[in-house]
Amino acid sequence: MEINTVRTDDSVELKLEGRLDITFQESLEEAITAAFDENPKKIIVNCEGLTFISSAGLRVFMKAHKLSASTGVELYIAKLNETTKKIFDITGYLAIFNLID
Amino acid sequence: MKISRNISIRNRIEETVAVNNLVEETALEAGFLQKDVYDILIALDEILSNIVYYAYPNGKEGIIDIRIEMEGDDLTVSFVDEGIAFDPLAKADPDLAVPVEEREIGGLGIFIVKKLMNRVVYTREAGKNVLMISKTKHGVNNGN
Repeated sequence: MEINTVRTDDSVELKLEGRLDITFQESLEEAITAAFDENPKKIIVNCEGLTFISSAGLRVFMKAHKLSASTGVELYIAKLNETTKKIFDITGYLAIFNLID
Repeated sequence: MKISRNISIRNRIEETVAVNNLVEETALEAGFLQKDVYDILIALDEILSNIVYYAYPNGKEGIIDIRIEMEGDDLTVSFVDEGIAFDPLAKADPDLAVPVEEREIGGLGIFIVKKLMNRVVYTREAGKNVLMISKTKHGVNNGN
């Protein structure tokens, strides 16, 4: 998986490419933590290029959700595809995130 | 269609990539739709990460034998390890009524496996954990 970071005045967007499985849990966790450290108004995790996600990825999203709650930085998940959305859906994770297209 | 392939790896995350590749290649060759291949690969990731992290405690090195079999319309992946006895199916499904933030993270992976695969079977045989997961192939016009 690849992570590309795009910054604007008030946001950090992480564009994910490829497969979010156990082999990439750690690098995504580092990128998310670094994004929160920058203290932007909002963080967007763009999943358009993400082909699939396992529970290893969900763990990172849960961590991001908790960081968002504790820091006040807004968190958005953008462009989930059929496969990634299904995983969020069957686990109940869909309900807690702000989704955008 | 009948295909049978084997691969053995050590209990290291970086070695799971070779298994992913072989399973993906086999499932595509067997005619699975790409979205069903992703389901299989997600299930694979859940199970291999479980075995790698928990089957051999205290940094012990162990081997995981994986067999991929296509028979009829069913693709079955079997995982055999000699680690501590562990039946992932014994754990209750996560309580979806509990808010996600307050839920235990454990058990989520195997729950996903059960949702994505058609059959999941665990047996303990001669000191080994044997876990088999199967997915049935659907044609383009057969829906889900």
